Amino acid sequence: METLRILTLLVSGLALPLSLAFLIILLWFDSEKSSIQSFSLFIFLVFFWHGTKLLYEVLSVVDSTSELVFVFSAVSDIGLACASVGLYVFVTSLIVAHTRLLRFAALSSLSVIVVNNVILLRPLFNDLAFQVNVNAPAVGVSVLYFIIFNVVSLYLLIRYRRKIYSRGLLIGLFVFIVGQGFSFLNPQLGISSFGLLISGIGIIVTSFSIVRLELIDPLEERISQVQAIQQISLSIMQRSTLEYVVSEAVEAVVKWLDASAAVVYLVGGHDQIELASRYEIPEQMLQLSNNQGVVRHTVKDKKSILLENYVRDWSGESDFVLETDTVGSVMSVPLFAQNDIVGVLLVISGRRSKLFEKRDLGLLEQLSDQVAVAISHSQLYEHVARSHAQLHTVLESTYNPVIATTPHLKIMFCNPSAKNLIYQLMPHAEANMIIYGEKRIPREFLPEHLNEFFQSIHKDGTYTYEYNFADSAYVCRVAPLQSAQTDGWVAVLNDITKLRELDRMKNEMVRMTSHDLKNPIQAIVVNLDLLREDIDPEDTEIVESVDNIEKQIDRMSRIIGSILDLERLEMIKDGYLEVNSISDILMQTVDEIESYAKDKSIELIVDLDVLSNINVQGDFEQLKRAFVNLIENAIKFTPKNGTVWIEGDTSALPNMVSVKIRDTGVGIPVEIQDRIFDRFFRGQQSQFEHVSGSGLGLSFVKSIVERYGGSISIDSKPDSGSCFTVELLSGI
Amino acid sequence: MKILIVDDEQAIREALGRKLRREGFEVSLCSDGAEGLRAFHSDHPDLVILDIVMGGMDGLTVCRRIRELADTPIMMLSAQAITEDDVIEGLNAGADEYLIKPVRLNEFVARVRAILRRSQTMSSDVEQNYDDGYLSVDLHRRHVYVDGMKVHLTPTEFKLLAVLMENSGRVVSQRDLLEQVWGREYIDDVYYPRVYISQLRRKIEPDASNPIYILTEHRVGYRFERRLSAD
Repeated sequence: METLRILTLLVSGLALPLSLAFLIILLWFDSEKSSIQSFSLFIFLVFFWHGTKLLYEVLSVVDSTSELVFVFSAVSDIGLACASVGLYVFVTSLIVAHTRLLRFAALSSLSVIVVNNVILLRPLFNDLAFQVNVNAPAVGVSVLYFIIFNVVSLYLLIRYRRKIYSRGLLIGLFVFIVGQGFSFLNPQLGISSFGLLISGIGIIVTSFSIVRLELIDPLEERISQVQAIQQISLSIMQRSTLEYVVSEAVEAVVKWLDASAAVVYLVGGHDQIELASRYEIPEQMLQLSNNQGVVRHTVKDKKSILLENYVRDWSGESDFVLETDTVGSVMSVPLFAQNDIVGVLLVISGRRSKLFEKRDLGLLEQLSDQVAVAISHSQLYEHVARSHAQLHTVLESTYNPVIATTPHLKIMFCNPSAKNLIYQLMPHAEANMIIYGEKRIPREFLPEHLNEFFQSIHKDGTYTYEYNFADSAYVCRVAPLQSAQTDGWVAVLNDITKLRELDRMKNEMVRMTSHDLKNPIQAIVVNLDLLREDIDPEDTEIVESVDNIEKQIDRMSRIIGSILDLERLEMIKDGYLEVNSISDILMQTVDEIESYAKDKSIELIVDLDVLSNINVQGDFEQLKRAFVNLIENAIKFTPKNGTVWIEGDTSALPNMVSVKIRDTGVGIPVEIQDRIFDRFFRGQQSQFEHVSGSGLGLSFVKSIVERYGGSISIDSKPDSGSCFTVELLSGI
Repeated sequence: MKILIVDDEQAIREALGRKLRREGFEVSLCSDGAEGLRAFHSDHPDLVILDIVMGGMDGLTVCRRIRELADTPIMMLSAQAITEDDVIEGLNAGADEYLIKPVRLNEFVARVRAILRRSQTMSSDVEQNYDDGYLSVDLHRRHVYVDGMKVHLTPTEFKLLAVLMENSGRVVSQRDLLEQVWGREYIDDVYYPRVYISQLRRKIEPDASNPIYILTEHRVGYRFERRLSAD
């Protein structure tokens, strides 16, 4: 018996300072928190009970008959009752029960304590001698308190056990209640102090648990929070796929919040919602109701939703199939990235698992920002990767060779057809592999005229040159990648081998055709001439017929001649740099054409004074043919008695000489002025339908003038004549 | 005067032949190159008129074959020419004349007469001889020796050389050359002298690219330089 008492003293003596110490730590940590405040009230009352009880025990050991023994016995009974009330207050604050009923109970308990104090203490102070008698009813009162408060507390603890996160706390409180119960056993059994011992243990457990709950757990939580955020951040940094990011997120959330399952929905355009990832929940269980589900509401309101009990609290359509069996608490959090909702994070707790509360929602919201950023990043990344892949495919499948280089002309990229080309160009030893960023493009490949190249790049942003390799011919178009200084160059090649071949074939065909036409014409011409000798010149009808045939044959051979003129021009390789006096050329031209003008009664006015002693670049004969064509054309489209001027002019451009051919002819409508230099183009001019022509004259003129670096332009209005201006490079 | 016409186009061949006969020439007609060559050997014509594009042996080949043996004047009549180069190729093959189809009958006859005149006048009115040890020319007998070896010149080449030598030391303009060697009708055929001068140089100059006898006066004409007792 004595050992029990000493043990009780020892445990209580330890329990009180320990719990006091825990209390001080808690108060120091956060004195504002209601659970800590109620805990301190509880500890204070328990302290009161234990203290007085201990003193009572100590005194009864020292002197069991002392009056003070009775006093402390009575006071400790009050303490016992107070401890019950304290327990009740603590439990209600633990389960965060703020219902009206409970508040009322707490109030009434306080008033009862006051009343109890008055009832108990009045006889005590009235007559100390009657303490022994008082003892018995006092016990009865405290039993009443015990039954009321402890039983209510016990009920609340069991009812709301899931709200108390710490199992230790639960056990400690149970132990305390049991210990308190022991105090009501007959004091004569001498084991009332055993109750003190047990409740002391209960207090230690409780206070340790509350320290753990309030201090240690939050710290651990913070750590796991940091870890979770880090994990998510890591997946952002790894530029992982969207799929990976969301699956990481749901897993992290579930583990971190101690939830049962989590789901991420992605929100696309027009608020379209689709399931992106789920964890620990089968897909068959999830359903996206049309409008009224939690997820839809989250998207619509852009606000988080916390449902402690989904089945009870959610009145809209269900997000789950058969939720009644499984779903307990649910949190739904929108995922925002740059003010746009990109998804919804739905966290589910099973029916018998943890209840989510505001704190969990707060934590989840913190994490959701990270998840949202991760999702939007990976979406962006996937978008970029997809576009890149598309571009790559386009380039890879392009028939034209495409090569990109660094500013130092090292190959950065080339598509398969470019690779083929490079392989063919390079010696066999090097040809096996192209390592991007190391291999320079073959020298042969570069444009020959670098000056021209840089000028063109500077002026137009691109440069086009021809590149011949083996039997193939390419047109290569080079452009800087953004800015050539930093990014490099891109070249697109066009295989024109086939075009060349076609061109050659066309030339060949024209040549053959012309030849095949010329022989029959020759045959007709000579036979016609023979016929003319044989016919009677008096027979006008026959002579007229022969004349007509001859005219048509002439026309035909002129057309063939024009075609061949053009072909001839194209066949001459380079415009050799010959210089000739422009006035000589024009004078000879005029000589040749004068009779034609006279036939048509058209006056030729020649003014070449400014051109004397001036040379132009170009072949004498070709330039003469050009001017003959041009002047012939002017005469052709000028009505009888008109005038054609041939004037020199030096004032146009530096290093240029210009010659103007003006007429008083029909003029050329503006809308066809662009096309008159096209091959086989003939303007429709009603009064000149009889004018014969091949439609090749002006195209021929343009070809020649441009061959020698010149240009030709036209200024004309219908009915007010035309003026052709030919600009030629002046020779030294 | 015998004229051989080789052309695979019957209508042309016969019309040309008829016309030349009317003009008093003796004419034989052939339809391809091989036949033409045989006719040339059997008939010994004074002038050959050749089409270029023919089945079998083409005109250029026939021309070269004839040139291997004889200086008989040859006139090319072709539809093939597109550029000057084609004409020059024909002239280089040894033709004295290159006419591009279609050609009018009167012009054709005039050219035929001109070419015959050229080859006939060759032996007359030139009396001078030239010999500097390397190049030796006997204008009268139409003999040319280069470094002791006899060289064959076509009538046109010979005529050209003769005109230049007659005016030795003086510049003869292209126009004058054309007029004197080929005839008035040829005034516009400016590439004739160029082609024949280069052929002549190849035959008589020690180095055709650095001529010492026939010198070019740029943009004016040509000049024959006597090099008597040069060495």
